Amino acid sequence: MGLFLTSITDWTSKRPEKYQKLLYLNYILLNTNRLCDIRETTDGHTEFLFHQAPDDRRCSPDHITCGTSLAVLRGWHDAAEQSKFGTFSIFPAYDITATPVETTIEWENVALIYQTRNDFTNGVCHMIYYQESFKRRNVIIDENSLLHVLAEEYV
Amino acid sequence: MIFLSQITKWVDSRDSKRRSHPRDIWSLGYRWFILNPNRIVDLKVRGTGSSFKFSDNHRDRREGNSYLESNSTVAEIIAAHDTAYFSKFATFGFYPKNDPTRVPVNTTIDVEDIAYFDDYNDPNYPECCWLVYDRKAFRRVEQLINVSFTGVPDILLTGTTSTTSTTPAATEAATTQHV
Repeated sequence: MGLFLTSITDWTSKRPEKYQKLLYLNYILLNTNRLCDIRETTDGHTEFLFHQAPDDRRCSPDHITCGTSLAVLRGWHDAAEQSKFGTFSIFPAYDITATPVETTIEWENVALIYQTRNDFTNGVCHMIYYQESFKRRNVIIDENSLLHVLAEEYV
Repeated sequence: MIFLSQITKWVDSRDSKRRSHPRDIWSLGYRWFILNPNRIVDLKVRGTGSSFKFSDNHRDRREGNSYLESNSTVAEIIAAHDTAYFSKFATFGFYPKNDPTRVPVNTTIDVEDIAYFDDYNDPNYPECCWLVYDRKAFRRVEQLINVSFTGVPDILLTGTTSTTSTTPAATEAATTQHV
């Protein structure tokens, strides 16, 4: 269980954020523990329901179509992290000029990580995580690429 | 890993409050269910079997737990919970609108989201059964799937249906051997 890198074909959500328009090169890291009702499409891609807040009954799931096959998704979900915790350098108050604070979070609480074009230029990423079921947090972390985050989780 | 069990009593606050129907109790003394042990709390020894509380929707604090009495022992339930699944994702054929005359759609869900399997009112017995699972905290779903009740443990343990068992009792014996 953990994050996987994928390219987004379609993302329908009732939430106000429109991530698909923000993504740099259309790539994002999603957490496999938020997926439900996964189906393969005829072109080998998959569509599924993505629960950003799986512990909140009020939050309806998003519908996502992505370029990752079911077999690959299964592989990511069955993969073991090197630790249940991940350590991120989080910029206080959304300010990338401030000194980042090393913060340790359970991988299962991370919903998604993405980069906008500006993030790519500045060498940072946006991360959405949940303080368990209590609060949704949107932060900027000091990671210059999504692949680097993946390497920290699994290698 | 899920486990097949003879449930002698199932009391809950839902409209389906008698899931072990009196007719089953009268004729057999129990009713077969396949339960996910990740929903169980307060597991206790009761006679030669066990009693426990079971949560249909374990992410929703508003829903009370059911009270169940089972012929499975505490040790058997613990052993089942300690047995690993083939994969943390499981794929079943979902009948659209729960209509067994339509073409099933292969759908994959997280095994943690499965609550239980039931064979009650199966419109195409024994070719399909009911899967009750949660779309995380958001919604409880009762879905008709194109897997026989006795074939479910094989799918979760090996990824395919290879069982030749035709009765729940035979399947239980086969599953116990795996455990």
